[in-house]
Amino acid sequence: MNGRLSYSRWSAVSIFFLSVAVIALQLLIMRALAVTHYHHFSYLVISTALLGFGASGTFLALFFDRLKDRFYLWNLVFLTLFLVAVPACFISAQLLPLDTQYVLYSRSQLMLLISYNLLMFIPFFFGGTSIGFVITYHRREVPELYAANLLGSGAGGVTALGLIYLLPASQLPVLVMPLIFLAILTFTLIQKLKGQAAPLALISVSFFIVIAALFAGLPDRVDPYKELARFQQLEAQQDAEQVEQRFGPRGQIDVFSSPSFHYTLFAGPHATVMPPPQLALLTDGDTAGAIFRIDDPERAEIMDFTPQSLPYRLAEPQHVLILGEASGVNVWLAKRMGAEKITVVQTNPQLIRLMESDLREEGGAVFQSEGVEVIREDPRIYLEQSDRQYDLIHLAIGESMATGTGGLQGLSEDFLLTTESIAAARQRLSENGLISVTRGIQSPPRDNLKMAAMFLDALSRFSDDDPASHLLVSRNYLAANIMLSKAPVDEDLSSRFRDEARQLQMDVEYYPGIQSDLIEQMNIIEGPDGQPYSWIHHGVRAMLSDDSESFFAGWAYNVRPPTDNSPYFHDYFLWSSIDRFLESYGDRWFQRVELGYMILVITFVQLAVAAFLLILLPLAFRWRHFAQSNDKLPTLLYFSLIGTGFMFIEMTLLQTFTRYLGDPIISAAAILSSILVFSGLGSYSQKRIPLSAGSRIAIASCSISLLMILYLLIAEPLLGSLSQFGGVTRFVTACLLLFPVSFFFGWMFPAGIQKLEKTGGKLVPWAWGVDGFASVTAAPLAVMLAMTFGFSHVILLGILCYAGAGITGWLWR
Amino acid sequence: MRKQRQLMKQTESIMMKQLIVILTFFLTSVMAPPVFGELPVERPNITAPPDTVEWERPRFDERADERETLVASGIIGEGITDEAVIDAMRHVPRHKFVPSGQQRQAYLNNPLPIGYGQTISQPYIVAYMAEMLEIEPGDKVLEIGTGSGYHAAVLSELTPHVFSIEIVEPLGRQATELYEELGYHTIQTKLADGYHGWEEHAPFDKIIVTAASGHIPPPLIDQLKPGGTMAIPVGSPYQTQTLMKVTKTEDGDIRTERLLPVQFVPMTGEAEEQN
Repeated sequence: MNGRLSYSRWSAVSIFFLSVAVIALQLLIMRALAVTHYHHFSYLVISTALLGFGASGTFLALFFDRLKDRFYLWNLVFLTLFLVAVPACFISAQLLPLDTQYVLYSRSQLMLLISYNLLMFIPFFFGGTSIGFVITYHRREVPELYAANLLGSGAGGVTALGLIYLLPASQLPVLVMPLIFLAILTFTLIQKLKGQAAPLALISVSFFIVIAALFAGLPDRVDPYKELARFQQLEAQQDAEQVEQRFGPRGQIDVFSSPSFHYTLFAGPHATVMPPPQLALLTDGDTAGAIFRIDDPERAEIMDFTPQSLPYRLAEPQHVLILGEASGVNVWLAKRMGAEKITVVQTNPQLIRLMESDLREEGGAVFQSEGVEVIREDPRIYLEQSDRQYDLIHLAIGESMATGTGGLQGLSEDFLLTTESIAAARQRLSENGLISVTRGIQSPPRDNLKMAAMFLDALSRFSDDDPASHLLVSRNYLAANIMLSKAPVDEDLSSRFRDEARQLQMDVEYYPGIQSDLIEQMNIIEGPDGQPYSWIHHGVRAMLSDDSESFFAGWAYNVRPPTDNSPYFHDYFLWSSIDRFLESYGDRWFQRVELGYMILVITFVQLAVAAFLLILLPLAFRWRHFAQSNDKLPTLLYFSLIGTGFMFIEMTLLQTFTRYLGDPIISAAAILSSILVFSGLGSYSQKRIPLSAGSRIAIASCSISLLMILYLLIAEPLLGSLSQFGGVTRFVTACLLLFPVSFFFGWMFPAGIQKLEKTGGKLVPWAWGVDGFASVTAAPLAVMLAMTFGFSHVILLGILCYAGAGITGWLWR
Repeated sequence: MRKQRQLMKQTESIMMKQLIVILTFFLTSVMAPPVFGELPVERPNITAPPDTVEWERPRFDERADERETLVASGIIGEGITDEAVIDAMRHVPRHKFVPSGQQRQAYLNNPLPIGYGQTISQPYIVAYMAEMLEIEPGDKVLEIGTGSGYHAAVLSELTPHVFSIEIVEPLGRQATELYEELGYHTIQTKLADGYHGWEEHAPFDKIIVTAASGHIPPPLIDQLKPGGTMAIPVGSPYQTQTLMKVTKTEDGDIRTERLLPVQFVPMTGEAEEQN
């Protein structure tokens, strides 16, 4: 095996399968951890695991010279280690006694969390090492090899989507092993196998490892604090029974029957009836709702005592739109309240099929009952496409956690809960129509105030109406109901609102003309010292005042209205509040901090520190080897900038295009795959372009910058004008818009490698690592920047990165 | 031959009766849901005036100094003033209710995991709830969610009539065995769905409902005496900082109040002035 091996196309094929496996593994692990643990945890773990990719570059920079003489053997070793590491590391990680909620209290738990991350890091390290090893060894073929990498990555996203339907989430990671086996098999073909005992033995052993892993499966351990674990325990003691289970990219659905499940949807304590028999509906291991096991609205009497019933008492709506309804309870409510036509919009087709077929006899038939129409569509897309008018628009998606889109988009945007969305919903209201949302109360208020802020912002930005005249807020001891009216609230409506709220034992927090000093709370919650009203009332009045800005700036949480440019309703974090939390809670300050944003910050900081150290490591240990090269700074700058710029632009394109395509899961996979496939085509095309590497860098960076500026100016209005067309037209248009910029993305990395090749190629593995680290670090940074400044700023930064890369390439001699 | 057949019939009859007895024993003692915790001790007179109620409370010297430190800094130091509650926190050996792997942390003022997704509550929260409920000796107290058993043990220091329900079988059994071992004979326990309360012993003066997401089960409202109080911690056990106090008036109306054991003003002083 000594002596340089000539390039064989089988190397590219092997890279292709390996890349499919790496991306698919990333997505499957995220899916698995979202169910067995939490979305935030899943995000943290996978971000750290992807460091393995960057670390592979560091490893190669240190050891490539020693490994290259036995390229064939060593790459087989890396591939086999990748194959074995997938089940071994996942099983080991799942068996760790990690208590994710106790981590913040315990140093030993923190060490376990670090161990968990390291175990997940290992497979990606070996996968990245194999890819980087082949690219470095055959660096003259980098356009073809990088194209294979990109095409494989694109295919990996789509492949993962398909695989997710096959098994429960906890079992998914082993499904990539056949792909890794194909990578091993095709790689062995770069040499003739006849007489080669070692490769043949390796293929056989790998095959048996794959079969054994697929049959044995992985441990099914769910975090004990999740509802799924609680139901599994009840099942073990015969107090519950699993009725149905579905897996898919929008979330794992579990349906349980248990006499100890009592879901009352915020019903007040004056309720004189018990909730009907019900099934528990879980999505990704958390309660998403209850399915009433009834066939008659009369048996859903408990709904009469809920805050959700209040708008029905005021508007007596005939045509009702329920957005994001998962289990049918709000349909029962609408029927009880006399609605004639009920339109339900739900994104998740599996949920709809489950209700309409397998659970039909268990209450699911409510979706097919008279007067009910179920539309499978993204709620935001529906609001923009539909021209129907409704008397009541009920945002059911605000009442329960993780319904519908809870799959791949755990820590993410919500385009239904934005100012623009509410403005669009208001256009769908009939003359005296209402928009209504009910949401649990927090102490101090957070979600409810943000909801009210969003409603008020929709009015003030998109109409000439006085926001103060269109808002109604009330609450019981558990939840607040917020309503936005199409017409100004007159004295009659105001009077009925107060009467009906009193009947429901709800406290009135706001109506036009309310007098703060006359408020008397039935269900007492905290408020300003010495005042009879609550913080909710205080907050709404403050938002309606001339100086609402000081309220938003001074509140403990971010309750500013989310917009399409920063659609993160569930982001409540404010840096400025940490001092107050420290002052009140001392060393338990983290109990009050919104973990979502903090996890992003922790992820970014640990990645940045690790990346910095690992990038510098090769330079420190092999200083003599690299000292001769004058390309260190240009390499560091160029590959950092293209890695960062690519991630900034890719993530922003992903978010904004899925907004217009609907079905966030399918759209995300399709857009991501399109970008990667088109980039792969761009990379491959470079072999046929008779231009120097420097010229290609200049053309590509200028093209990307100009195309993205053009995108900023025309994409949104163009896509908005297409919202009336069907899904296929919108998707094809999106691809056409993505093709040019993605094509040029694929030029940058290979052209940079070819620059390095001209000066000996010593820095190629290091460049691979720098690019990997930059991509991985930029991912959480992009989300943090989008949350704080909005998508347009992130795109501008991406443009600056590519412009910077272009300048670096031009100055690179 | 005829005598032999008669003998065989008699034998069969006897064996059948024995089998029925064995089966009956099996069905009643093994298959039926256990209602354990009915311990053979004489219980204090439930109608006696509070200041005359006496009952045996176990005492432990082990790690008493750590309990004293916890009480000084984490209970009295955090504002608890009810002497009976302070005394209760001083005497109940929290380390006995904590898993072996958590023994070192037993007297930190933190919640601790006990398995099955449950926690042993932060001592300050336990004391806060007990103080809020104003438990008198002689009060009948119902706890929904025995968990580790620690909270009920604290309550049993304040009144001899403590009833506790747990739905997770391993936890319920473990707590009951622990009460027996430690001498907490005044606590009655049951394995059941706490949503339905414990009708046989209703009505109750005080009710504590854990792990209920703040939701008040209607049967518990029925089982609460007029004038009685219910306490429901709201939120994750690791982040619980809100308690719901539910009061049933003499007329049967329900009043709720959310309390923050740790005061927190969500606005800055400047913004508060301007608004």
